[in-house]
Amino acid sequence: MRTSTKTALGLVSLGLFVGSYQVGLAAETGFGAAAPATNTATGETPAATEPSASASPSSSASSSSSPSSSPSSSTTKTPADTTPTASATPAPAETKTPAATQTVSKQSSLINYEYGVVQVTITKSGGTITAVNLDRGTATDGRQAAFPSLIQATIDANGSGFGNISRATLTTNAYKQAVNSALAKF
Amino acid sequence: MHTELRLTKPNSRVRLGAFKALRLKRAQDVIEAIAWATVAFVIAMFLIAGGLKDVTDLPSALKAISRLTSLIGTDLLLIHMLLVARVPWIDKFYGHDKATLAHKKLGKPVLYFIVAHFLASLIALAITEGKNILDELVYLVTSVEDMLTATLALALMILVVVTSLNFARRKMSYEAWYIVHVMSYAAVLLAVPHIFNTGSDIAGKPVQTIFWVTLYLFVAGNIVWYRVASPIIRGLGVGLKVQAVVPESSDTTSIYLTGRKLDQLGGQAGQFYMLRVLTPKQWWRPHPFSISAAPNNQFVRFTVGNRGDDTAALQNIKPGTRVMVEGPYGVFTEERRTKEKVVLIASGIGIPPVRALAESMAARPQDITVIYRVRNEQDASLLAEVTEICRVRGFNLFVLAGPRASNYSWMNANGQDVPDQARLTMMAPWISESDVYVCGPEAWTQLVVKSVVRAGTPAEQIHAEEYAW
Repeated sequence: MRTSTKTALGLVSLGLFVGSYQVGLAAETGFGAAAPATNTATGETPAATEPSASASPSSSASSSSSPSSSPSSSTTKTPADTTPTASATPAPAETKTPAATQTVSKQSSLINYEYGVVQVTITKSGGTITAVNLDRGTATDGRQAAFPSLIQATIDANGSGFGNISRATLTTNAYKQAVNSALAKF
Repeated sequence: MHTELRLTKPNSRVRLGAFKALRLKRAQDVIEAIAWATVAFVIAMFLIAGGLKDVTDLPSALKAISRLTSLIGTDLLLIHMLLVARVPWIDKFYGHDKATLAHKKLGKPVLYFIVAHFLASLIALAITEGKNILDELVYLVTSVEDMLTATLALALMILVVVTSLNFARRKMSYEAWYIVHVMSYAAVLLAVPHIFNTGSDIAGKPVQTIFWVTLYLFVAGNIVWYRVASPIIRGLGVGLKVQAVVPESSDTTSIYLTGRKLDQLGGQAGQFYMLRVLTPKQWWRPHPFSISAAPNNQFVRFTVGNRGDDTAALQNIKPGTRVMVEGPYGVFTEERRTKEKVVLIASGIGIPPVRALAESMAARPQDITVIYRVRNEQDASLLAEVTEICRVRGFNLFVLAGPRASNYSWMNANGQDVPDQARLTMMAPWISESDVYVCGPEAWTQLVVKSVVRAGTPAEQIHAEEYAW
């Protein structure tokens, strides 16, 4: 490459890097926000983010009073104990099964993302998600706080069609990926 | 056909001038700029995604390093593979030898980037999850989707690079080296799932996904077509067979090939083909040979030196044997000529392309000077033909026979203590205003190029090509 071309290219690249770094600083939760927030998200974003914003760690604890679903405090432990031992076939017998509808649990693949890893086990009764267990969920800088609200949102939306939690977009995306991978196994 | 020398009509016109060299440099700049742009793009997208903003502590810093090195490393890896795909648009502007050299140079940096990515992400995960590194590795490989294949890919990649290092390559047989190199394609494919499924900068990001899918498909397409499909289709289509085998000297042999559709081969004087002899033992081992006669509609001729390996077997190849050629490759051609005057310098088995160039280059008498360095004039390959061409076309021919003048000389001893460049200028007074084509063994070629430069020829007028593969 000729020296003049090299110099020009170097300067342009330097400008590009500085510019994109600035954009990166401005972007609250990263460029990836554009990705999974598709048509469903545009309709749902305000509705879904509001509850989560107002009630991130605390109200998810309060909403855990709903009978079978809550992941946060007590129920978490029981499935978490069972899953590592028998991950492929998480005992469906453990959950109380009314004769009419069958309750099945499936574990997602382990999603490795920027701030850690996410793996969930989803329990479905009939066509409805009744419980989401966070088998593995690591994140940095307090992003872990997003998981309880994400789990609630999953149950509310009966799937991964809910909006992103601001300041935790990548965590949300990884979590949704985990949920989708578990749902795909049903 | 060999008793009486029949020459093809030389090119009647050729484009010359500095503009030709400028156009070449522009084209090279465009290609290199595109290659760099792909690297710059992935770095910029990483920054736009806030890749550096999140760096607050050691694990996050490692995570950022892991992302960045994987992006750059993978991008360079794809460029690295493209460089040996024998893609015509690379060969045309750089030549097969320069592309292969760049491929070799890029091998180690690619590996360093990928290893850095592996270590950084492993350590980052071990810290965040509070495990020791070995446990984390075992956990990742056994439990996390796509990580087993990715780790295998890395191990294969290390094997490929180590076996490509000069000291290892000298010790290995060509067969072992070949098999390892074929495995490198497997290594690249094994790494693909973890890139698209879990890559922080790809999974779930449409712009990046489109970019990477395009890049992968582009490289794969070029490799599959130019390295595999096209050589087979074209090579078999021509239907080449050995017509005659003619000894040229005690250790060189000319192999004449004919085929149904010779005109489909294309090619110019000075270019080379990868020759495969289609026998059960030999078919998978191609050898590069320059054509030793300008392209014509009668035959393709290679003149092969006996270097003791497969080329020894080629000396006794039977007429009627089916062969296949891939190519043409190389830029040791009139395409690179910018001056009216030309000096062609060859040594030993470097003579075939020079012989073909002397036959076909557009020139008036005295325009071309041929210098042929041989050990022994009585046993010099193709010397009679070169002499005849120079006589018919009015070129100056200098045969430098005998032992070399000194360890630092590429010429023969002539009893006088005169530097090579002075003797060169005596033989070719126009040398500084000429295009100089040099073909011979590597060390010899370097000495020639040095004295050509000392004689005042600008570097871009010197054309030397090595058999690199």
